[in-house]
Amino acid sequence: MKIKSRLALFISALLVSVVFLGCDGNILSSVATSTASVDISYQNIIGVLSSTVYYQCDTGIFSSEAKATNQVQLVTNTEDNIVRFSALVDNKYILYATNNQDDATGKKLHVYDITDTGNNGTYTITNTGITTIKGLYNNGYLLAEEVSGSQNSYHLFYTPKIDPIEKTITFAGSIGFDYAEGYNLANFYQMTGTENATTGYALLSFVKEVTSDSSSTSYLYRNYVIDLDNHTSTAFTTEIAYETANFVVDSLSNFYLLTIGGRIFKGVSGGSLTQVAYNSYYYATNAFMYLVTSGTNNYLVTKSTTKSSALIVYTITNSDSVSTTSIRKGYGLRLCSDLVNATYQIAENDLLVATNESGMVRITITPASVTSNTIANGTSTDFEKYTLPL
Amino acid sequence: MKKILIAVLLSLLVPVAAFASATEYKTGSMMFTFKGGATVPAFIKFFDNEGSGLDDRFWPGEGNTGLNVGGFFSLSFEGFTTPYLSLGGELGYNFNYDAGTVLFSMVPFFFKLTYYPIQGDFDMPISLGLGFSYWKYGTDNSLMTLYANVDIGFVYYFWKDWGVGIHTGLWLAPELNYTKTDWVNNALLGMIPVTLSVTYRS
Repeated sequence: MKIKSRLALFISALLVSVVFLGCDGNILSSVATSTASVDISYQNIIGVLSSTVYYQCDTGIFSSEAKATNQVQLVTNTEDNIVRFSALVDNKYILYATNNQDDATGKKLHVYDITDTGNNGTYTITNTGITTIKGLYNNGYLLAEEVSGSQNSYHLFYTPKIDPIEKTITFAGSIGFDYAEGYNLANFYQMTGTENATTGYALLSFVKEVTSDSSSTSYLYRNYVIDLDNHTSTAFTTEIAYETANFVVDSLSNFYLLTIGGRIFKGVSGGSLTQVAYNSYYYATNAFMYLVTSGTNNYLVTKSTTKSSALIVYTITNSDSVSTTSIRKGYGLRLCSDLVNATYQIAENDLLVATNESGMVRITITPASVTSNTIANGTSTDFEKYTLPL
Repeated sequence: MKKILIAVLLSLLVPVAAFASATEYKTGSMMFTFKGGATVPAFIKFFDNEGSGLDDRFWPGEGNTGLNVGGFFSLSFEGFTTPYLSLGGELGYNFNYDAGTVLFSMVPFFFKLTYYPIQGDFDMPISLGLGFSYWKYGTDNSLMTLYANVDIGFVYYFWKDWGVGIHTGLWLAPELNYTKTDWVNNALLGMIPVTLSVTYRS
């Protein structure tokens, strides 16, 4: 009898372990569809013109046609000129900034003219208020720090005009941010897929150290909504203690901020932020976070910092109830095996997605079945087999 | 036809008889074995090819099972219940990298029943194993599932109590996903191990 009860206990323990140790699943399907890494690490999809995609990777700037054919290297990285930021301007110029500190402090950017390489070279920015270039983004926005005596500030310049005769760049204007109250620049965010958009919204985040002792330090993040249409900025009234990974805006102008620790905050521009979800996923800054809408629900399709992890879809109902689903099939078939580094929206729910070491894919998402972990949820090309619009 | 069959069976048993000597083992004999070697991914059978969108896969490499040849080691214990049969258990660790160099690891732990038709200086253990295996794929994807294997070995005892051997066989481990929406991806993994062993018997 004693032996029988011990055996029953052992079997029960095994069954319990079966229930609790398993998670995510779909291992063999992921294994069977795994592909070898390619010798390229994408960093930015600069733009798509006709049947050519322009992109930045770890060795420079390239163009390719569909399925990664006819690859041409346009800009080659050198030790003192490694491309860090790039943007497509007027569907004609690739504007890029490098790690060269003299360029950053000398108000200089580089230009590659897609249609006339005779115009290529280093151009000077004519605008004032630039001490150091901090960033250049896909939509042509330039973030610069201005140091004036003891007073520092940041300026977000927009709408660059390139003069190939004078070799100058003049931005149409700028949005200013006071660098006060101990705040430092944290990051600039653009919504996944619409990084090239000059309309809609972006986010600029500042951080302040609020407590500091020998054992702990905490931070407060102030997030500004950048209205790209009207060139204005408005801060959320709530400062949060968590660094933002990325954000989306729904059709009702609700902002959803995903933090690097897996929290989701909701709010409207100029209003407060309220936490609506907290899950144990971790995200990088500028993480893959794509909004899909179906019925009255919002779906946030995300990729965490774990290379071989499923896409996590947050379902947010109109009453702010949040649930998650893991996706490894359909549109997630390839993206579940690598980190996402860059995106480009071809059309709604139709994206080019570039990964860290496996290549680029084109995915389509079917909104009605976005949370279905089956081939019915959408499509994904194989790595480096992406198609492009003609 | 029956005579031919008997002749074939006898011809198969002749070498067995040639190796066989007086029984080496008796009830209560024990055996400890350490194995180490390679595992060759043999197949992945998807139970729902249409639902999963995947064909069955065979042999290592990208486009096949997706897994590369990996490594395996284990420790096992056996106790003899008769001179020819032992009962025991085995705990192992197996690893294979997939085509994208993501680590797939498996920890099988199972009960085993072993038959020793040949024993003495030269043993030929034939085992059937049944138990569980814990899988981990990448850093965040894991599964506890069933496991079964068949193993045949050839072990030579160069000292009375210490032997070295070579083994092969077939592992079968099903992926039975817990979530209903994942059931279309249920599949059966087959692996062929080729291992060397060191055995101590008493």
